[in-house]
Amino acid sequence: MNRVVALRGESAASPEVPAEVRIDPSRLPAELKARHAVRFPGLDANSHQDFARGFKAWLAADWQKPEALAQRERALAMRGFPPGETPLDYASAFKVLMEDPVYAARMRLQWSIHDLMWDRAMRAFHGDADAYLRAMEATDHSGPGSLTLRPDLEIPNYARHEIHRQPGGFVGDPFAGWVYHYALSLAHYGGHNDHDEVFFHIAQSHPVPADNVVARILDIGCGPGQSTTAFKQRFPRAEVWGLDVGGPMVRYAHHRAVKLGIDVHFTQDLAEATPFPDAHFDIVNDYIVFHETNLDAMRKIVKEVYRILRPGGVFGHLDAFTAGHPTRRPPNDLQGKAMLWNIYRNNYEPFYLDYSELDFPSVLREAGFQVDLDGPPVLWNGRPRTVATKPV
Amino acid sequence: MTQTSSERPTHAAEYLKGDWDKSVFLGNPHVDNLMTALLGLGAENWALQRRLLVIEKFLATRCGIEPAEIESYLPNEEEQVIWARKRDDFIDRVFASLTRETADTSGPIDLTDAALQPPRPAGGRR
Repeated sequence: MNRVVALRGESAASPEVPAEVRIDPSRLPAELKARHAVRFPGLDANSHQDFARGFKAWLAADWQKPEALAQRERALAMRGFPPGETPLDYASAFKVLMEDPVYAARMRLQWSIHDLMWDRAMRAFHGDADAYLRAMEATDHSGPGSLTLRPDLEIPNYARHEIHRQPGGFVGDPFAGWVYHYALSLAHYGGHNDHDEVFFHIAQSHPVPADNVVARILDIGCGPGQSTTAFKQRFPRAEVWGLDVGGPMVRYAHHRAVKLGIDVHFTQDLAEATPFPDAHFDIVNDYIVFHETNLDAMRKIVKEVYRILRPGGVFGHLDAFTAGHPTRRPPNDLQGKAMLWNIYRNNYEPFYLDYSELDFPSVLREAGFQVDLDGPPVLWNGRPRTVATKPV
Repeated sequence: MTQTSSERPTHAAEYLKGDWDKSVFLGNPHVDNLMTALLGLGAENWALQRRLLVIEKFLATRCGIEPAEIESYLPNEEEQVIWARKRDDFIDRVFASLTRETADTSGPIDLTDAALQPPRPAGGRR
């Protein structure tokens, strides 16, 4: 490793997560809920996020009403666009829908409320910047767990983009981790993740190697480290690592883990060039990472995961639509294609369409993995997890 | 908003600024901006309503303060300065969208490094 800023600290007992959370994450005990809830110090900042949560939910419910869907289909049919597959490309499909003023207004509202969510969180942290930077400095060098920051890391351009309209993206803002964690938990998950339930579920439902040996776990693209700590809570005796390209992300992730008293390690590194030896991990997890990397990085990361997994180790992969998946193929109708363009262009996810059109399961197989496309469903929407196993 | 300049290390890096904040969905950027401002007002209004709910609860249960006292209160000089700053923050939060730059964002995303930005400073949101 190039530069270790903080060394491993004292280990601490991790709070236990009961097994029934695997079935229903809403059954978290009250003590865990209290520990994992986030709240801004000021009432107004919380109220702004509460407004964003309510408005997002209202907008989504209104948009998905059966009568609204039927109305849009009727209007499109009258304009010569019947339901079913369309030969139009993504951008053209979006343009067709944008000619409907109701759709255009919906786009404006969708992205204005999303921007408000980020903006109010940014204001809260930057408005008291010294205090939040001091808080991270206080935990940079303390345990449990460790933090490795690499100020000289050569960050590829694909990782420097502002993703999801978050100002500064994952690498460019000092409070990227705080902002990502607070805004998404309070406003974006719509009540499904108020206490890290999504991440508990990801960890609790993750398949284990056939021999049941789980000594080391890596969480790639860990962001603020919610899944990383959740894995430690499921596997208290395992050594658990979170890896992310964003210095402000892993710095906050470590700060959060220290505050929770959870002994995990975070390192600022590229998922395609990790500092770990061959066959080192029993489990590698990723949650919505690959669609935020370019095609070259996607293939390299898969090869790197294969390298660092031990024979029999499992790689759990949860992500967006991808060609080659039996039930998660990208839609090919007009509204579906417009939706994908909207995610790519307006949620600002520069590589979303690349991932959608890539046959990702084949990339896994080409790297040597045995691939199960129908792994245990996770999250409130029952999304299937792809489980890739390194052959023994 | 409160601006805090900090010399502390941030570990932020150069990033590529997107054009997502320049989109025009409604044909006229001023209409887009008004919609954004309207949402901002909604958030401010809801924050006030939540604050009032808290205050009314405390007033009723703990303080016994007469409503007439609130209606007739005048801020002192120090409060006037603080209130003015809060008003200016409020205006910036809600109406900043009216002055944003716009661009045609209907084409593919620019993947060159033309938009490379220095790391964002702490305390300098905008």
